[in-house]
Amino acid sequence: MARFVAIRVLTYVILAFLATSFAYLLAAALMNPQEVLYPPIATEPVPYETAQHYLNVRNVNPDTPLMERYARWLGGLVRGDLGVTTGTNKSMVPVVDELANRIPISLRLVILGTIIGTVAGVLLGMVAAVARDSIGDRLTTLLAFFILSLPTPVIILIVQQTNQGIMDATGWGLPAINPVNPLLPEGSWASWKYQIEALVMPTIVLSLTAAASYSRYMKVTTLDVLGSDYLRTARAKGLTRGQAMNRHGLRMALIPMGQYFAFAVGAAFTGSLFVELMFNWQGVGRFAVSSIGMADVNGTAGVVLYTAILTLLSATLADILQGALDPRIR
Amino acid sequence: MTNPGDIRSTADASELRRRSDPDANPVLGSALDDPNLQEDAVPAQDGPAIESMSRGELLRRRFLRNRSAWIGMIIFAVLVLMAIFAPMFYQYGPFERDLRNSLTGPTQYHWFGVNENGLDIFARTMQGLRISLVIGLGTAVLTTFLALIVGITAGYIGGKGKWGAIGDGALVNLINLFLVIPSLLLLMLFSPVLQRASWLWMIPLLALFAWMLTARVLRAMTQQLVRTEYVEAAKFMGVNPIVTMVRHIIPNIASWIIIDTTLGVSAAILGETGLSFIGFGIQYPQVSLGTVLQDYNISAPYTWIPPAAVLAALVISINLMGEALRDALDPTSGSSRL
Repeated sequence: MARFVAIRVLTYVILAFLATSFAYLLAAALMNPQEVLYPPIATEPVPYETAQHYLNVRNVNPDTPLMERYARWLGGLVRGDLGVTTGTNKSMVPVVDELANRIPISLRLVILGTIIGTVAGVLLGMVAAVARDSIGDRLTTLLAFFILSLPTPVIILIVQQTNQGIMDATGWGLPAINPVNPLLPEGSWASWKYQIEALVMPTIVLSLTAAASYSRYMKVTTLDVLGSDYLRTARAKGLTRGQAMNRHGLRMALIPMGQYFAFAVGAAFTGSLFVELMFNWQGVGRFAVSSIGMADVNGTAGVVLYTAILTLLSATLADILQGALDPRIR
Repeated sequence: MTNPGDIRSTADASELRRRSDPDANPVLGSALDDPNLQEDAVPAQDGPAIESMSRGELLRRRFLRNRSAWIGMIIFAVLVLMAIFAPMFYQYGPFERDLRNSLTGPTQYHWFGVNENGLDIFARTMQGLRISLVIGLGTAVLTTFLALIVGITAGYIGGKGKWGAIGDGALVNLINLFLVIPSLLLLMLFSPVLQRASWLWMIPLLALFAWMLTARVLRAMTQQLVRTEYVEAAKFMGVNPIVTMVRHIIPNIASWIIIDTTLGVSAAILGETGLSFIGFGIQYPQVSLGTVLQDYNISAPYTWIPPAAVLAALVISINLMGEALRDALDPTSGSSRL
């Protein structure tokens, strides 16, 4: 078990490193952060020395060979330094600080959305499979089919529009934008209440998409388990349907779910990107969009590193779950 | 004349018999003269007595028997016709501004209303539908092609000695690498650069980040097929591996490939829409459904509900057809039918 997990983790670390390096090289090769020095409205060019200094400090000098810039970035990475923001953001904020501010905002979305979505999806899928062709099953299947046919922005729009409709009708509604209200005193009950209320709609969106895909997978695997020989044997031994399902079936049905979990976190990151844009949350997803938009090489690489670590952690967690569930691996 | 296989046809045999002495060789060709063994005794092939259905005919009937297949096909056909013809006769173009009527609801002139920039939503939706359809279909085909090459190669060479195992391992790790890479971020990186050349670059770009899961499944399927007797026999007969793949492996997994391609169309449309929505997809001189949705306004629901409904109808119709196709091609999937 320990060996199995160790080998898996090592592979994931190598893959994450490769992915991040790949992203850095691509960003450094494709983006032109030096363009900010030559705005169209400039009347006279920036002095050569100043320009060189500006670019070297940010490690984005196009005159330096790409591999040398990469080596410098890698040296920083080993020391836990991801460089400073570049591109049109001239303030030179260290990317680590920027990420440290934004990760808590994004992560609560991703974690809550994934957990609620996973649990709800697994439960719904199981119920749909056990009570096959019941009204609940049909409704769940239809809803999952419908949700999976909509892009995330449209789901967000539906949720926001519903909230707006309720607000228009009753005068009470959830906050539509911003995770925190800066006008409320920090740490007060009102501020906490606002934060919790603001979390509701984004979490609904993320868990809806996660639950939709999970319930489908779970239904398929549960149906496979229900038709299996060992469950029939368990029934023949005298267990009731529920007992047999709880003691033997559930565990087997959950094993493939462990592997999907790794993808679910990645999907939650993508979903949180849309959520952060449309609910105006200053999280990592928004940082990703803005840093790619303004040719911030270091910022882009930092975001890719964050997502790679997130995927790595969730894949490891999935492996541990699988090891715990599946007796054949231990 | 020791090998009876040398007699090529009954005509040859009767010619031989005519020329040889019947008493010297009584066996040769005697069956030809036996009236009970004449070929006419076999019932005619095109008679009404025997009627077998070809596989294609069977699939077509099973597919058309499915009600959701009909619903999907009709919606899809209507949307395709609308995408082709609506921009031809509609009086506004996707970038014609009617600022006097900006942010007004559906009227007889502006069928879906006008957004806050004075752009007609119906014109934009139809133009976007065109682009989204082209990208969805193109990407799905290309994705399947990529997945087919990687998946079948990995599955086929996996069992072929040490080098085969190494190649297979490399391809599997390539698949895993692409799965780990945050594809949305890389799409956002590449897309604006390539869009300067042509909006059609979107197709290979989306396909590049969508083939992995299909390739994984195809690899597993090929591994099972490579162990079958007929593939082994082909190998021992010295058949070229590529011929084996095309003649023995692909036909066996074709049904799964068709289903996956169909569902891939909707996945590609969703991906493209999402990317365009955040501004990294289809760029200015073209419109996509994602770009249309970008101009949403919560206080004016008509700015986003019509394009969202068109998009949902498109994706749902494709998914309906895909699932009906799955039921038709794979009757054993009944247990796992959703």
